[in-house]
Amino acid sequence: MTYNIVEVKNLKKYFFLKKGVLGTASGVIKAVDDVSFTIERGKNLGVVGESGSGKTTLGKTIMRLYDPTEGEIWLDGVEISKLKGYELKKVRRRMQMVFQDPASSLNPRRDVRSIITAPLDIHGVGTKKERLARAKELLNNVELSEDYLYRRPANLSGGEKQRVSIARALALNPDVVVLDEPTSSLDVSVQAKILTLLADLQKKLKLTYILITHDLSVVRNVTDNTIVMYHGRLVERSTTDNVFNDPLHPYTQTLLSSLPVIFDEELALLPKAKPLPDTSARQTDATQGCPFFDRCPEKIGERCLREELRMLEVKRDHYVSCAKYY
Amino acid sequence: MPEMSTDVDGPLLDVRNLKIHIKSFEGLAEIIDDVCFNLNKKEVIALVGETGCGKSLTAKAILGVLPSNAEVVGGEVLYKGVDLLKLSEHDWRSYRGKELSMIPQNPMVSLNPLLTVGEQLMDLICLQDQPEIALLPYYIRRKKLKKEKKAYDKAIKILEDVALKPAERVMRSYPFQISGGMAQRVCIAMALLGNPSLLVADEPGTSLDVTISKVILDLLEQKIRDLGLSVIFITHNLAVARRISQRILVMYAGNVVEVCDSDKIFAEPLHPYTIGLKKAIPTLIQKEMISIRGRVPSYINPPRGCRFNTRCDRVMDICKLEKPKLVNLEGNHLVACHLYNRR
Amino acid sequence: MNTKKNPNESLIKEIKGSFYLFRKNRLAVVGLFILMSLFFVAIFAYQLAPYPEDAETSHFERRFQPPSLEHLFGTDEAGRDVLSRVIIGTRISLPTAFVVVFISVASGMPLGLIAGMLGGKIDSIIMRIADVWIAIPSIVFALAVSAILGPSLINSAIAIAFCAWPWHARFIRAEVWHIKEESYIEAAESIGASKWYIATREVLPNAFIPYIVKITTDLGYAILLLATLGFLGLGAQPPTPEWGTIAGEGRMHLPDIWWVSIFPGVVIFLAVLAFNVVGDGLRNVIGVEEM
Repeated sequence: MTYNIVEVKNLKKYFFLKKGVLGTASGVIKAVDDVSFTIERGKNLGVVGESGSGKTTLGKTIMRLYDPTEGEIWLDGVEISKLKGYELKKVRRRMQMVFQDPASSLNPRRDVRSIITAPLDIHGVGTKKERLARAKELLNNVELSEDYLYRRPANLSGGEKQRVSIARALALNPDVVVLDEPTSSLDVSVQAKILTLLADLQKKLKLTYILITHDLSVVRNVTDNTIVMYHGRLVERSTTDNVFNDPLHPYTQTLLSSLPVIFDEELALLPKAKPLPDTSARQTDATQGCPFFDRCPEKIGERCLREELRMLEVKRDHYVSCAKYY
Repeated sequence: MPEMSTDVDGPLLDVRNLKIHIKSFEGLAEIIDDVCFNLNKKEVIALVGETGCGKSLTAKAILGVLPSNAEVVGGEVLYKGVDLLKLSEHDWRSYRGKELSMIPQNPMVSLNPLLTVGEQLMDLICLQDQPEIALLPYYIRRKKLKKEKKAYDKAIKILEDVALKPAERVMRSYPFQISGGMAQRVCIAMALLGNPSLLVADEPGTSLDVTISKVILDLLEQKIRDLGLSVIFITHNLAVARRISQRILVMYAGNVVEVCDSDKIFAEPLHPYTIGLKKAIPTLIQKEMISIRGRVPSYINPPRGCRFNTRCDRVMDICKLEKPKLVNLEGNHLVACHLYNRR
Repeated sequence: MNTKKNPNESLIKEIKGSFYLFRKNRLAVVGLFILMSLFFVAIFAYQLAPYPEDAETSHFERRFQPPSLEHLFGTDEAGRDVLSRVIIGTRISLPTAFVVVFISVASGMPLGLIAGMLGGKIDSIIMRIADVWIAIPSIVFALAVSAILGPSLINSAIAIAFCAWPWHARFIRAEVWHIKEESYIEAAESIGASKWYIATREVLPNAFIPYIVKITTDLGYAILLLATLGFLGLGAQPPTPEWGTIAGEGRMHLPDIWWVSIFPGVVIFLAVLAFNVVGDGLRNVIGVEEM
């Protein structure tokens, strides 16, 4: 049992574009560009960013759905970035993922029982009877009655589908669960139920979550540490409290200031940065320097483009990658 | 075309007792059940509710674009005195796009992928003055549009109005070549083309990133102010509703359950559903999220009485028998709940 | 919502829902009715035909009689009752069409599945072969086959199936490609499923749904091709009462003795039409189911 359940070192995932008749590489998308962090057992990590930030790619690379281009991924003391075949399959039991869109993450042709017991089937765990019992147990964990066993996804509501998704992820007793926007497509009242359920399950089953989302209020309430990503790069990393109370990177400040709020008291807690209009360029730019330069309200100038980016510990346990602090 | 009233004081839009059913193979879904609200001139109201509560359907009824299996069983939608539900398709031509207009939910899907942005805009502009253009086949139309200089200039101006620069490049682009934020602006431009008085915004910005949707909302706010529009803003995001509207209407299962000014409703919500919503939202200040128990009732055999009675913490016997009416408590705060209905 | 622990309840609900959607397309319902009638006739052919022996035996004294009350479709050059021959022909044309399509599916689907799942070089190879194969016109091929192996129903069936597999392979490959993008495939991968598991348990059941529409229309097309070959003398040989063959026998006597060719032609037309509109009706059902 190691203290750090997950450790990611200098992880890179690039997608190489092939163009032309001969298929020669002519462009690269740096979806994840040099990301490092550690996660302590039981302390949830929030990965925050907008679409195109690479947060989903990061989650999928950690899950080995993609092969990393470079870097290391350590899961409970085992380096998994280069595993293949049987070794990789064994490791998959320790980490599972809950996907973003509940509707498309469940096979419409299968019923709930079949979906939940699929992991057991694939890894050859238990007899048919035992698997059925386990399916009932899992449904119980996600607060669905046994009646749901033979339903098809088409007859489930969004919240119910997501619960089935969670049940499936828990079938093999993983240590780490990657949650990719688990509540983004759900209604507000259902969102609360799912998040409460996840919190209960964490306590009960001793899980560690990696929560990928663009919804800052969810991150605030669920995670202990947060990393902020922009165009594949890590721009800020610290405890969730620090990131929210004292955002240091201009992008984090922009993100927080864009949040519409309900209660007046919340307004006081947000920074007042001024975001620029969207001219989001794609990541095929091979330009050096800070990717936020075009939209940054606090850019310094030449230095932002010329300085090599690195994460600097600006305050205690609070890392930022910004020329302002170099 | 029916005569519109010139009553300056009345509301611009008056929806009375709207009832809509949808035919499905499982039976008759009584979705919209006695919806009443009105919209005053130069007012922005937010129609707030969760998936399936009927807010989009209500908007579609107002614009006359209900799906074929929907049936309006009762009620009126009075726009400047004219009942929109009774208009023929021919009459609608003078209303849709001109008096009433809509911003769709997903801009990328709402633009024609086969035409450039410029062609679509110019198409609409020409349609305003020369409706016969719509009858020409696709290829002839494209050729004809190329020659319309006035339409081109107007389109450029409209795009610059929604802060899309350089406008010429956007005009030449196909929808897949522009980003979601830009497409949303194009849709806004299209909606404002005909100088409408009433705008229905169907969850704009939900498919966009939060920083970009903030910019879009800023733009919308500015346009609404400048043009003096009356807007029905549909959303499930309470924070956005609070920001953009003066009044919020909370819908649940096909009924309007609470109406109040935006800055007051979350301070003192009255209807148990609104109270439940307030407790369930994750915010930056309250750490605990308490969900509403139960689930949305089926529309095929809706519960008798108040449709929230299966989930309400303070349900009483009368709630299961009689449907509460929307009642005006002090200060323009309306609630449909027996708790406040002691008359 | 009623919840029972019945494993099949969802399926039953789905079937009921499908029927409801299917019923909306009136033409498809008519088509289905025609098909069911044809199947009924095929099963009870020998009971329904007024002159069941006329499949084989000749009565030259009755030849070339125009349609009348005793011979609703008239008689042919050997005095055989055309109606009875057409009825019995149902037992030939329909099953053979099914066999043809079955062979195409059995050969085309696995190849399409492999190409779609594995991608890369194997995909390119299989698809290029399919592209070349499609260029072979089936009638010319059938001609070659009959020249070499002799004309017969079986040979023409094989010729048609032989030329049809690339279409199936392409179709399945396209479906697989599309399904591969879905989240549940990713989910299966993340659990550790092998490509074989994903192909058979996740992809194929979903690919089959639109495939059913294609198979239905293909059946119609198979009937048409078999009849064409029969008409040209390359397929079922006389006296086998295959619809196209019957029509072919009457070809030389047109237009005065029209009933020998026209009636089987009409039946072929109705059968093909029925399969096509039923396929269309199924398309409505499936399209909405995606929701």
